[in-house]
Amino acid sequence: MEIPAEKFERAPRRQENEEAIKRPSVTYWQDAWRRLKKNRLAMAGLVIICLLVIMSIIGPHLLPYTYYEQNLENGKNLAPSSEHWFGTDDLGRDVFVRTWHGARISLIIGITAGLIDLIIGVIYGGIAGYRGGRVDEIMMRIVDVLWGLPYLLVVIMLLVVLKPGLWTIIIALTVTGWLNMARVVRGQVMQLKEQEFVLCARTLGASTKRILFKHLIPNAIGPILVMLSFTIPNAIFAEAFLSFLGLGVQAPVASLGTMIESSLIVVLSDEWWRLAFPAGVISLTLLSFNVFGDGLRDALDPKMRK
Amino acid sequence: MLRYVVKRILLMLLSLWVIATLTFVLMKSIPGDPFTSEKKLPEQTLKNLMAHYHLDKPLPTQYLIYMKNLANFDLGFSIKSSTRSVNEIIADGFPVSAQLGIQAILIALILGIIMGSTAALRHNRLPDYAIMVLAVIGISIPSFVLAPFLQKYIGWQWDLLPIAGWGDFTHTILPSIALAFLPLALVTRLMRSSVLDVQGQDYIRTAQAKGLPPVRVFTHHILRNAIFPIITIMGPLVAGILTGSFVIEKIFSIPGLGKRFVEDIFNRDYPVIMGVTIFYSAFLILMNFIVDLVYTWVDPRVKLGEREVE
Repeated sequence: MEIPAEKFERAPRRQENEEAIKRPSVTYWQDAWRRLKKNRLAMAGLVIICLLVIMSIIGPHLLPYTYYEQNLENGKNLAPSSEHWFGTDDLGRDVFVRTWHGARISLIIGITAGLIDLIIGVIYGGIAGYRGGRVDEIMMRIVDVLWGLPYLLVVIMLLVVLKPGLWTIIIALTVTGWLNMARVVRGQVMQLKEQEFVLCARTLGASTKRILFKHLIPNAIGPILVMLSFTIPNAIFAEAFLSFLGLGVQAPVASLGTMIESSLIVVLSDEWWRLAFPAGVISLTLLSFNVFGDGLRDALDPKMRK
Repeated sequence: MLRYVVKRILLMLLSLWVIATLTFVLMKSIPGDPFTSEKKLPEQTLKNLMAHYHLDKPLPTQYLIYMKNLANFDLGFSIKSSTRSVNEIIADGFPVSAQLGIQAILIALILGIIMGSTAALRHNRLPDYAIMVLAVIGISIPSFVLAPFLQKYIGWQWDLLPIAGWGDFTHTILPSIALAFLPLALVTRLMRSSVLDVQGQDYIRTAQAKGLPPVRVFTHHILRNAIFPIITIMGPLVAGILTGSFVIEKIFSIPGLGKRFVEDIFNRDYPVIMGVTIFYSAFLILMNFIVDLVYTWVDPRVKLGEREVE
């Protein structure tokens, strides 16, 4: 078959901006956020975490009571009503105020312990991973030995000796809690330090400290955040667990754990509100942190990229 | 292999030494001696007591005596009930705790493997979603929240099983379920991702291509390979069940070592706290060692000494 010459058409001249990137470039974080937004479960977790944090700040002030105020005359074991939204306990204290105050204590413990773990773990793991060789060998042997110690038993031993209180609990939780973070950071740093941008920074004369904190750690922030999102619920759980051994925060201050522990005796009576509300809030807290952590891991894990 | 085993044994002994020394230092840092809280004792009695427990000797000597006793598996005596040795307390309580623990592990492993495989085989369909929702809830609801509700409904309102106490097999069912809840969720999640992983391998396509019935592909090719990673979480699993037993035995008032340990913490019976902590630590450290050895033994693909923990 023959095609006549006039059927052909001259292609337009190559445009100037043909090779320009048409779509806006997406940074690592925008990309991760886009993927996270698609995960409805994780977003629900994030929303609930925000609500819990807000409630733990304003919740105790919504009703005109304090967490330690007792009403022994006619306020004991009242069912939920318009005056006491979550009812009252056996000392006439308002369960609504105590629940949100307890949530505040639990969140403070979880977040502070998580952040301290993060700081120690990042510095320790960063140095071990970047230095490598003998330094790494010795530092990681120490981690190995500490890793062998059962976490909660060490915490229990420390709290038996130290006087239980908010800060001693946080300290006890972080004594061996940072090991996980140190391992994660070390692994990340070891992978990253062979890359060209580190060589480049070193050639330009950047100090070790600058390379570590300006180049290596920011690039490892994804796995660090994922680790943090699992450390926080673990610390909250551990504090609640310690309450059962009488090693939680001491009365009149209440955490969710001590509230559940002290309301176990009402299991078989009709005062369900004393157990149900703190138990519900702690389960919701752990649940939302867990689903958000899962979602965050999927969003930040490069292996999941398509 | 031998070099790896020796290295692991040395590491294990070092961990044991650290925990033993740590407990010693912590206990000695408590102000006063164990008898200060008791009612005023006559001078001579106190002296005799101190001499009997070697508390009148300098600290390094005390430490040596303590380590020597530990090496002979002698964990010392309770101060609150002075006729009982810590060894007797452990011998009384541990079998009860062990029975509960083994039942809980069996529930977690069997149900977890079934549920995890089901979820993976029905990937992204209703059973998968249902099981994964259950697993997330299992990780989020602490056993000490679940246990009271089990007691209230199954034990009390519907009167199906005993609420608490210890006696025949029916007493063990509720506490075992409460203990198994978290491990079950962990095993289910791990098993699901493991089966999904194995399903994508080439040898599964080969097995399907040569015409094997799906059931046989599953039992002989998928399951056998997917089950290995479960061994790696046996260590954390046992640790979780052990610490969980403190709370569960207290809630169900079961005369196991966990409940006893909690009471001794309340009473500040320091030698018992010390002894039981060391016993538990040694038990867990030994379990981890065995798990590591078994894992490298059943799965030759694992390079010795290079397994990343978690």
